[in-house]
Amino acid sequence: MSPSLPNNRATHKFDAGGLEHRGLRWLGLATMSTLIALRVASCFLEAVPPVGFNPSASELTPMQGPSSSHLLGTDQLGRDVLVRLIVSVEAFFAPGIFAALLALLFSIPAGSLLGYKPNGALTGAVRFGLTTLAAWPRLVLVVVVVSAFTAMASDPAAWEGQRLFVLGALVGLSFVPDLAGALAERTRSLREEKFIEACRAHGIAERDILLRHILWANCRHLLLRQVCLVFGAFILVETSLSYLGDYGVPPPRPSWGNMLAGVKSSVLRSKNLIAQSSSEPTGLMDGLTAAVSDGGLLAVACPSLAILLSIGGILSLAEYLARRDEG
Amino acid sequence: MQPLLSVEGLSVEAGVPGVRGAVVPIVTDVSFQLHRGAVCGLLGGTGSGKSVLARSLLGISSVRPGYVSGQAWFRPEEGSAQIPLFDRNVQGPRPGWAGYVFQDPVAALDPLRTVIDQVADSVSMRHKGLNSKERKERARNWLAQVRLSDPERNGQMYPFELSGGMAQRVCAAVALAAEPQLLVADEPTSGLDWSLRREIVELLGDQCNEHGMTLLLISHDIQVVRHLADYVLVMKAGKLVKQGAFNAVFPPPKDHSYTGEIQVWSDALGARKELTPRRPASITPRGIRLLRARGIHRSFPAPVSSEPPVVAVDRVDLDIYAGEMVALVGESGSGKTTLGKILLHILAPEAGELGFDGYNLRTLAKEPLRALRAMMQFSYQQASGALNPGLSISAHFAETIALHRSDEVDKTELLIDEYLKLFALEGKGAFKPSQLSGGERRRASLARVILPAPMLLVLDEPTAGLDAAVKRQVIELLRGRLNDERAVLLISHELDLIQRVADRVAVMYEGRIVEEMPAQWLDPLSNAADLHPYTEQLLASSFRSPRRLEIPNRDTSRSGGCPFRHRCHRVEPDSTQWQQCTDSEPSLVQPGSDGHRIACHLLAQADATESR
Repeated sequence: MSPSLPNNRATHKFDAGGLEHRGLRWLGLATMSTLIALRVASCFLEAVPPVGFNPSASELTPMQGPSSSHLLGTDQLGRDVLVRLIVSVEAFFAPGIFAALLALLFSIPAGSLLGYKPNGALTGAVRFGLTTLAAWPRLVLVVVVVSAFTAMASDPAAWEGQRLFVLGALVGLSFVPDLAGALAERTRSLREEKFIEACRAHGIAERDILLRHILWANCRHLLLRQVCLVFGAFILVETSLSYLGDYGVPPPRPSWGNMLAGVKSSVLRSKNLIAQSSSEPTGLMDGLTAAVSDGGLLAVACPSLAILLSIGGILSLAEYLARRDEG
Repeated sequence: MQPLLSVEGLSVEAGVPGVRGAVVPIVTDVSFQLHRGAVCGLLGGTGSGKSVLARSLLGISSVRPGYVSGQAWFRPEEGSAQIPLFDRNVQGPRPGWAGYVFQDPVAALDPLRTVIDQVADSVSMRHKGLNSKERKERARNWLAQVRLSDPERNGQMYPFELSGGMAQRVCAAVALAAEPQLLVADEPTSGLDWSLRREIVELLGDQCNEHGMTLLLISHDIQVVRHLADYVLVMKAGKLVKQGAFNAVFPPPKDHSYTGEIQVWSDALGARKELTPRRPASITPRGIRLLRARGIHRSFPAPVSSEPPVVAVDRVDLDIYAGEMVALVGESGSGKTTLGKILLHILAPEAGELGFDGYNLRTLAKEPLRALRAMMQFSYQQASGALNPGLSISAHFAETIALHRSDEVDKTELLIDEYLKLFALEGKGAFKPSQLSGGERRRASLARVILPAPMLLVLDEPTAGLDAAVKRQVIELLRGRLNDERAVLLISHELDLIQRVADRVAVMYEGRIVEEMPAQWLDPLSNAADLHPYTEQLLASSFRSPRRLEIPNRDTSRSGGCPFRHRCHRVEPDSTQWQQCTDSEPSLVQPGSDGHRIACHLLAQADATESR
């Protein structure tokens, strides 16, 4: 029904859903562009080795508060938090994109095969492969393969550089069953639509029906959304592993994960110091307070917030794409 | 005549979802009176506020209370019961003063109760204190009144077990059994098969007449309203733009040139009350034979796997020549669409020969067949389903140009603009199908199949669900495209349309072609005694036809014989003719030299005696 609206009445559609919709879009796009900007900025900061040390400064002051020379203060070794925060983007940016592209590369053919030709000759084999892949717990797969590679690496220095890409490949592969499944489901339902029959009756080749009418016209937002999810998941995996040590970004190179880990150890140390100097029992909170009072608050808050905001932003972009897809 | 209902300044506004305080007017300042015992038509396009108006009066609107203003009285002359219009302080007339017949009969009935129980509920609304046996008895009576076949047995059915026509009869019985003084029928026929429209409308009219009820008939179809109503209200965008006697509101047009519906009104208004002899006509193919189909057969698996497959198309022979428009008519489920798809080999037939322009479509390999599709196109009934929801209209056109007019690819932009203009879609090229109106979508999907300039175009119900103006546009576009080299197969159940635009018509019944004749013969006003009895029944279902046929509904469990014999009004089960109809299936024979082909024992015989 389309009643004609008088001019003095509200004519535009504007509801809470729309506001949320736009919010998601802006949050997502802002996050993505910030990450890209930070990645570009990190190229220029890279020139200062080792990362975050300022050789011209006569002394290194650990856990310093914000100052004009260190905008976000310094960490437990006196390195600049801001610089390390920015350079950390390198740890997941390219490998994360690599992971997403790899996931796409495998899941588009697999998913469209499963969905478009569910009874094809190859389909059974592909389905078996995907199920096998899906059976591996993601983190276990990553840890096992990365330690195997580490054990076999002949040149440890070169391996350090490749490690993140191996990590990316593993995360990407581990997402192939999810992506292919989502794509297969969408393709399967589209295949039954009247317009596909109409396309065939119109004389359009099967290849064009699949590529243009199904994948391009009706699945691209779905795929873009999955790419965001893989990228977000890679950030999570990379920061977790770097926090835990061994499998992620090796110090002294920065990652949001190992920045947090470094601050943690320093906090625990100061807690022990306090415990030794006073007879009263102290908790972690006291240690934290002590560390924070030194100006370490920023050293804790910055990487945590960075992880939170970037994953949150990427997920909201994914959510926006999902809603847009639903119409 | 005394007024039954008087409405003054009724306005209804609805809230806009999500905007606090904003409202959209749906009905604006409507005033009218309904006279007792009259039949009043409420005409208007989709979204003109007809249903909201009627539902607000009956208090069944989904519009939130407080958004309704104005006043209405029931029987204003005597006692003047004010109609509440959602005002809780107004007591209103006795419940059951009005009944409502809904558009979708199956959805309007309770799926979990037998239909006779639902009619019995209405009976007890009127007559308190009846025991259940008396209630059932009266309910059965009502079911018989609405001419439900076998009320004893069908009364025990659940709504989903009934066909659309039967369910609408039950709905009418539910509304009538409460013996209301006002019966509102909201598009009572639009959910039904075309051939049932007239019967249901007449049933409602007869019942209201018999029981002295006032009927408010809501419809967008001028033919439905014209058929019964003496008084008509016309709504447009929520306003009552015209009211008065039908002939005063719609005077017969002086101009008799063909303009779609307008011609139909003039025909209806000057309705002759007797049948005229048919004009002689014959089928004379103009061009070469484009399509040759012989013995086409196709069945689909039954929903219950133990049952035999459902035969959709049964041994059909059909030729289509260049330069002609062939129409395929028949009720829903007669296999028209399936046959249309088979002829272009969109669906594969199980048996038969299929030749198109010298190619054997059944043995042609995939790629040559696909290339041939530039010359044969199929337009789907649901235009929204035929277009990709994710692509814009221009993208659809560009694809077709690249595919079927590849030598003109460098002129793609020009061609797209030309076709957008031709189909009155200027500026809509960048729109996706969901952003267009129903009529625009239909035109876009037609443009897409006409763009390759096919030799054979199959159009499945190209005018279904379109209002008169758009329908006319579409038909004129199609006529303009047809020339001596091209052919069109028009699948439709609009006999008036076919009679005017087609050259030849094939009548389908249960997957068989039972008759093939010149389209001019499809005239509801002419004598149809030498046509197939099914064709005669189809013609009688037109609102323009002066004849009324009693259509028998015999139970013929025995298979074989003439498939139409259980509905044939020309034979009696005990006559000598019946034996032949039960024993052998009539084949399609050509009794004369005018190209008329018919599958009926009665007529083949008559002609045989004549020729002897």
